[in-house]
Amino acid sequence: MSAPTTTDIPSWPVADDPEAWLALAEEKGIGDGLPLIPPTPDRLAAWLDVVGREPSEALGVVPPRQGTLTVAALAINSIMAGARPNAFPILVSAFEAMFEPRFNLLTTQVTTNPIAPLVMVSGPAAAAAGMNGGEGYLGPGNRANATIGRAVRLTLMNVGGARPGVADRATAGQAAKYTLAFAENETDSPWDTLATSQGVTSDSAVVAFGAVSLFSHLDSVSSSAEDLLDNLAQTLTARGTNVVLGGGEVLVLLCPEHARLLDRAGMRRADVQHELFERSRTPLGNFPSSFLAAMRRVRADNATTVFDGDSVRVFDRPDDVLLAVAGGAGKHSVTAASIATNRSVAQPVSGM
Amino acid sequence: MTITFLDPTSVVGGRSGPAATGLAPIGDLSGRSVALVDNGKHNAGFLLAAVGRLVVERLGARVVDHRKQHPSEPIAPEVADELARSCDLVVTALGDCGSCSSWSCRDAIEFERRGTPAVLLCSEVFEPLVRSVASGLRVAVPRLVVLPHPIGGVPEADLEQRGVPALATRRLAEHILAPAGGSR
Repeated sequence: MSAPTTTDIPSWPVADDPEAWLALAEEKGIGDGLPLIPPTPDRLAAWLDVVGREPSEALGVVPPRQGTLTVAALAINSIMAGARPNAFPILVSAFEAMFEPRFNLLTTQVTTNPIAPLVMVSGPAAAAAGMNGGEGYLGPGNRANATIGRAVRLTLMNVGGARPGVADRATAGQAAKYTLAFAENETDSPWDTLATSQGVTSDSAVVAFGAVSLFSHLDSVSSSAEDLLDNLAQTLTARGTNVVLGGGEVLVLLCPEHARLLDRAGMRRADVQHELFERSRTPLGNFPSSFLAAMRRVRADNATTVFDGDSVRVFDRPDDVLLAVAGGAGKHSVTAASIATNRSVAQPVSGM
Repeated sequence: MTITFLDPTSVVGGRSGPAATGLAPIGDLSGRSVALVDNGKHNAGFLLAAVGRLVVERLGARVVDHRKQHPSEPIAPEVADELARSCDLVVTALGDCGSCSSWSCRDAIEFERRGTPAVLLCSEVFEPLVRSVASGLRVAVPRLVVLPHPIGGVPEADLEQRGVPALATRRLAEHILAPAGGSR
């Protein structure tokens, strides 16, 4: 049997008209509801020229459909998303990260939780792709951020079969499931990048994180690290996140002004992690007994850490608090809670 | 004028995964061991307790209880090995959300791969997802006891009133164990 080529890819004829493309996507169940760029053989060939990889090369398997993610399939979905070929190394790296078992891509794809795969990029790859890590990094407005996240989403739906209401069983979903990609703001960060802190040594890297609950944390009052940490810790104890119930990671995206306040107090990354670990507590008596019973069961392995005196810790360990700097001027940090069974993965971006 | 729109769902190079296999047969369970795998979902243990009574009182078998730490991850391979080795049937519960249904389905498939028959108790709302997870893996859909939704997050008395535990044991006994020619 000869190796499959791009000419073996099934296709549909469609009128050369944007409304017809959107109607086709709707009819075939291959879109996200937004207008798209049609992945034509010419566009795919142009992409593959830039990408320089074999179209049939398998990058991994996407659950629950167990579809093989080939270079061609990723390119086709990225074209649809409106991404540029210079984003390809980032997209490959994001999927490599999500294929790590600890990321738990099956759960991400099918759960009633609204898990949005968050893709945070650092190093020259982010700049080369034109990504934004500054003001308004969560959108809207930047094409690279918008389309890289969207390419991830379309690929997860089309190759992995996570069609909403079919295999994607999210009770509510969330807007971030359309797209959630941005750059880390390295210029305004007092620390090394999150990926570097996780041991990645390449110049460019991706951190993939299963973001369930995105929360905008305003603190325009604190003028000391002490107060800032106390307030932030309160946000991290919000009852409705999976992390409070079952443990897991939280990504704290500090705005530069909040990060500067911590830096001025001489705090390093590990210090902030430790302080948030210590301060993120809720008095035992604040929980209904049914919730407390569920916590005691789910968090039994770490009971001595979690149930500390008359309070309950949110985190099992300081390393569950992931820190990065992103955003522009202002006092708005963002917290993103994941779930205990989904762990973030830092992955080098190669080919840059 | 028309253009050619490439199918973004196509997977050049073919889908991966092993070819479909059948389900392990259920033998006579009298005097044997049946593993009850509680994935920690609310009311899973309550339903499995009813299954346990059926197993002990009507099948004359022994129950081996196991509780997963978290419903949204795979059962530990060494636990699956041990239960598959020591038991002749595994009943796992509960599939009543996206991730727990999917992972319980995969757990059931893991037991079947080890040659031990498995049954999954799941809510009717998530039955299609269970089927698509098995279909993606190109294996036979595990034996299912499909129950009315919701199961978790309601008081046990409510489940009793709706007859859910009785339905679970009746369907298990009549639709899965009896046709298998097990202990009946």
